[in-house]
Amino acid sequence: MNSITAASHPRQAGTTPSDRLAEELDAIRTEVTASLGERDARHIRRMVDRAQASAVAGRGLLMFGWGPVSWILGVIALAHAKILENMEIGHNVMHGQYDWMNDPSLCSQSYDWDIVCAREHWLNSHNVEHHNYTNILGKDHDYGYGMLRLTREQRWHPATLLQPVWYLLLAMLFQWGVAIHDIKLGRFLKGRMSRAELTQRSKPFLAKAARQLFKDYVLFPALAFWQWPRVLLGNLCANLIRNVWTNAIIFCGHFTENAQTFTRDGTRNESRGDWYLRQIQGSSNLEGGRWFHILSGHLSHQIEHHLFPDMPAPRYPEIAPRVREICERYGIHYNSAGFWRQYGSVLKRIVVHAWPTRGPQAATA
Amino acid sequence: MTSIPAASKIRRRLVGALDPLSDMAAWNRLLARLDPAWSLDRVRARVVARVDENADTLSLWLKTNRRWRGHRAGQHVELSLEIAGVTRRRVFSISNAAGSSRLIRLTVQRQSAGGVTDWLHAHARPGLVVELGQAAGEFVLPEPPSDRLLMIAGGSGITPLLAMLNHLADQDSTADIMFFQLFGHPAERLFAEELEALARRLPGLRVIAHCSAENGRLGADELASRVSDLAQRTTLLCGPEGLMTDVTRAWAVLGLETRLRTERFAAPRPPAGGGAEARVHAVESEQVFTQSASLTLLESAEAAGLRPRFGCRAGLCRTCLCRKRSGQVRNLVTGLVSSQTDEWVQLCISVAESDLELVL
Repeated sequence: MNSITAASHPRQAGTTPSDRLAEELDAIRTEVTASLGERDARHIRRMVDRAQASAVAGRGLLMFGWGPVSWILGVIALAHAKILENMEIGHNVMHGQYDWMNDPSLCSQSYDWDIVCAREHWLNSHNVEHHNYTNILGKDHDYGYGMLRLTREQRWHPATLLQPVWYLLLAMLFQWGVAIHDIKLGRFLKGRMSRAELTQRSKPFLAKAARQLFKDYVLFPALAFWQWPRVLLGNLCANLIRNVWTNAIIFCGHFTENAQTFTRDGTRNESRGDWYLRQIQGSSNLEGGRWFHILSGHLSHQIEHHLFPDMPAPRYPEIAPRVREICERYGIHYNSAGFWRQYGSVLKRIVVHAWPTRGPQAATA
Repeated sequence: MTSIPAASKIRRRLVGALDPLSDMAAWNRLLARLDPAWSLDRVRARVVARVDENADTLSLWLKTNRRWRGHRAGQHVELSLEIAGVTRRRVFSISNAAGSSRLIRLTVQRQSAGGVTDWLHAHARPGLVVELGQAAGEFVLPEPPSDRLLMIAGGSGITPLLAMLNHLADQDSTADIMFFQLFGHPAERLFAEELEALARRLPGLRVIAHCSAENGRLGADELASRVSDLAQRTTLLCGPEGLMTDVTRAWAVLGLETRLRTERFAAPRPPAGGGAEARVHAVESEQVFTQSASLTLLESAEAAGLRPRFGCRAGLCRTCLCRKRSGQVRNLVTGLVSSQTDEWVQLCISVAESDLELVL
């Protein structure tokens, strides 16, 4: 377990630096929670309107448009709608960021998103497992998604040599990867899960996948009559763009060069402060403009998101300077850089660890 | 016989397949842009008039949209509106008789600061659009009509009874109605003029106004003694908690509980004393359990044998999110207090600060 050693803030004697870190971060949360109001409500409603308008425009152009230009515009508009809905609305609403609004259409307990991943699977694999056990090898199944080796501590296998190819496939089919993630197929393949349990676990996924496939590849193409091929192909491309984009953003969240990993043993008796520390050290931010943050669902502020997963996302850029300042004072590395630099380091990691890398342990003890 | 469920199943499938086109919330958002009172499936209503009855009470006349299915005199309706981004709900009795015009009147007495009533007092004016539920409640006139009624109205509890009087007047009823109106101060007397007008239309109506500041508090026993033919009358009662309890008890002693109909306000209960235990009513499982001062709501529910869904048990994942109908809850992480009715609480990091009703 890492501990805070350098330049601790000597504000209160008698408590550990880790407790003081927790206190300072909690203070930010309390302050933001108390100030939630109309501004946040207006933001999420505007995003919902924007995603809806973009979806209507995109589907309209694909169904009733003519020529390649309208097709390309249609694909872009639909991909934009799906990205906005999945990232800035769906992901954030399902974290409970807007539960305080008491609006049934924006409630984490009922919201369902435009993606093949069933909401109940997501709530478990993401909100419960990934956000609690962030970057703990063997417990955070989002680390490498059970198919990629991203650190020396993970076991190497000859098939790992092909992982750049697996990665390319995963990126293109990312919504399917996310969708089957919580079925835990690996356990079944290793004989640690019965067929009956597998069938049971697959049910929500199959139902959701059927609905999504029907919508994008039967219903909307059929509504366009003889134009059905351009609608079908357009929907396929929009889904592909969304997949590649969300994958890139999400992989930058925890797999960049300096994002650390942790062990079960090292995190057994974590205090709240230790937990906060792990969230910071296991996450990395992306720098960019306002539109970039929105299209990433504010996952560009992965560090702030992991500290406060249920805080309305547009607040992350506002608190980021304060979190950064706290990190500096406690001597914690605040991992933040531009998109290409971070994503480049992710790709490098995928290639490097495809080989049987060995050597000194990473900076986790 | 078997073909009916099969057909309905197929129909459900077909309708379900068209879900992407029938996203009600999306269509409603679109309609609301054209006119905020329009909706495909929700009752929305526009304020057409505001009448200030006294310093703390106002009446709103609302024109509902066509989703409104009407009401029976005495029923209540849930009103929701957004205050600082938060949708808040509160139930009000409807104080007019049902007509053909889709007009309803709600009488709003100002309650705690920051709530719906306070907001309406500050902001309600013609043009405001609010969302409503459908009329509900069993507090209605007896059917078949009874020719002898006793109505007891305490304070703003007069509203459902006023709707009944208006309804009876519309029916040209000749029923013998004794109407006790109880209030604290002369300035708190509501609808004096309307009651006078009703007395002209209802030959059998006798209004007995009782001001406790001038004549002392009118106890349930004294009230009963002033009605000579009490046993022959159906009693309709609505008022503050103390009055309700007294009259209910007195009528039970007289063996008249079956002739008594009451309407209770969902009144906020005072917080339990520091560190005291709180009683939690789990509505769905019909259980009552005690929250001890040292446990969270989730732990207390589990100790009582309930099995609420839970996830991280640290306030992160919200798997244990639970609807709180009433009562006061403190979130141990944010320190925020949830005191309004109908709010979401995270069981694993919350403690009760008063008796609660949870949807569990």
